[in-house]
Amino acid sequence: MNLVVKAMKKNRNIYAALSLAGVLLAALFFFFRQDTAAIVCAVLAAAALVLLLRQVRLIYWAALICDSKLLAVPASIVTSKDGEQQRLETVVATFGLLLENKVYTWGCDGVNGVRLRKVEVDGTRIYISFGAEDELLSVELLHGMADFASVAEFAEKIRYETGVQAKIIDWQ
Amino acid sequence: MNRLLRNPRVCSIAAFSFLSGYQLSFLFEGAVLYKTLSAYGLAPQPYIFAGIIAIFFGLFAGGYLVKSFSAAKLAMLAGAAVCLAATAPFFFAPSPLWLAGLIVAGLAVGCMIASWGFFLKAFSPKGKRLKTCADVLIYSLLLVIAVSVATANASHMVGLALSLLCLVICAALTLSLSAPSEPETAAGRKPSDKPARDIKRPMIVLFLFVAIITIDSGLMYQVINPAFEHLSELTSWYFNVPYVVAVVFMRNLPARISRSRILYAAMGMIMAAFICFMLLRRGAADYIAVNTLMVGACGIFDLFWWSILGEALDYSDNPAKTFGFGLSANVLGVFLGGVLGASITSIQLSGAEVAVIALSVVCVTLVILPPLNRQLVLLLKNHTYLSAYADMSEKQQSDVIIRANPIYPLTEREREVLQFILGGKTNKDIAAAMSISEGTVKFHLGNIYSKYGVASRVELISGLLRHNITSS
Repeated sequence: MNLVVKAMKKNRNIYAALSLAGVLLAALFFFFRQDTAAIVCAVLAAAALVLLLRQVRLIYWAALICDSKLLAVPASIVTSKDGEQQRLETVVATFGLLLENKVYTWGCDGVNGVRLRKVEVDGTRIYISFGAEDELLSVELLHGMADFASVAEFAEKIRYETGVQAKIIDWQ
Repeated sequence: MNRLLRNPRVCSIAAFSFLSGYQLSFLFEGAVLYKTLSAYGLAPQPYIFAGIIAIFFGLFAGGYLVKSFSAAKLAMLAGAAVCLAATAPFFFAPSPLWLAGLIVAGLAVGCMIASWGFFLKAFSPKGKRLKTCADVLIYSLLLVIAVSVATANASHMVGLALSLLCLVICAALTLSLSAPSEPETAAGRKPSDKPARDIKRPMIVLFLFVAIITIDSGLMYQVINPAFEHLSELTSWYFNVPYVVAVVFMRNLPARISRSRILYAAMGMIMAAFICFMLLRRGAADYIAVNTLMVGACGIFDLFWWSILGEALDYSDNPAKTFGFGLSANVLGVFLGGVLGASITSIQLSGAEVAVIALSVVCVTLVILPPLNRQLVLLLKNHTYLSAYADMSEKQQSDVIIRANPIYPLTEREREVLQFILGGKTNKDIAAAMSISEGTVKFHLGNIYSKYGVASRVELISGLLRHNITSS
């Protein structure tokens, strides 16, 4: 499993525990007629619940992106105490981009919504533009591909999956 | 006559009509059974419900056990022998053998009816199945009218004897039928045929459709009939007449007239029947009005789903299973309607209150029918389209997608998913074939729907293939 998704799941569990604790404490305080404390706990529980829902949604999209992965760019390497190394990856996929703990999606609403607009690849970076008609967002990634064949293969994958022809520029 | 009986289609219609004659005049809420039970002062409901439940399980058992034409013929003959033996105790004083006999005969009749699916598929060409189904319904109901009149005017013994005669004739006619000339596999199709498509979903929708449509028949029998018990002479012959007339009308309806519209007219007739039941008195003319509307509507409904069931035989590799499954839904519907009707009438409400409750149930079932009917027609159409698509060459298949004009061009991946859909694959199959999750397949599907401006898989398949199949 992708490390980012793992971290997201960890956060989700924390939010779930906080929500539960908040609800239980609110009920407890309400039972003992501590109205102010009960309201504070209920508000905290509600906030934790909102965060939980947001996190669940994030995990859903992250899982979709990992499942339709086209390219995984190693962003960093995490080494645990026992020396085990795990790569933190940025994932470029048919339906979006997983960048650290951020998820950007495209092409999930058919003819409507956010769509992948432009992909350009040069010797070191990938430039991805996506968004609705009037609101474009661009992301630059270091791709780490050393040979032209890998870049061409990635460009072909992008075309096959999303219909966008990736432009290879200034390749040395 | 001899020449007619040499025609296997006519012979199979006659065989099934006589089987239905036995079943409907005796086993399945038949007048003979009611008269026999009342002759000995027995409460009918346990016997009636036991018979219905046994037929329900018999239909399922037949569907699962009978897998070839020869097995179907054997089941018909053995079933007739079992029914003869199980009905014999009714000539004597009441005993536990009556209930046991009803259960055994119900199971055997269920198996026999399911088995007839093979005969219907083998001896009736695809375009003639509606007429075959109509003929079967007409002739079996005419037999039932004859047996009911004889029972009402003579004694239950005469009715029993006539019912058994029906069984004997059914067995004799079945014996004269031989297997169709084309070799068939154990699954009941030509060895050269492509494997049958998975028809679980259309069958479930068909099951629901038939069960809901027939709840009203069971309900009517329990709610309306007791109110006209004093007109036994009239009810003995007139009860099934509107049914026969309605089926004859539907049978001879020109093909260009939409049968779905007649279905809506029948829904109106059922509601009008209950309203008449509430407003009119309990005289002979009132009975004729209520019964004509109610039973006539049932005839229209029945032929409608029977013909769908007849056409659905082509989509299945085992006609007994399709036929048994479809008819078990009918039996379940009648049973549920009967239980509902018995519950409503047992709580000692006034006639008008009973009619209002029954009418409410009818309204609910009728509201469910149109969307279910639409879904069923789409599913069956899609099945036809997908089968025709499977028979196309690879070039023709790719032409279908090239010729279709989406709002926005499909990606190569979406085309690949679309090919799988048109190949009749489920999301799970597509996910396995493409090594992705089902969730991802659903996103691709959502995008394809959006690009073709459709809301569901059935609409997509119909939209893409309708033109290609009908023009070729």
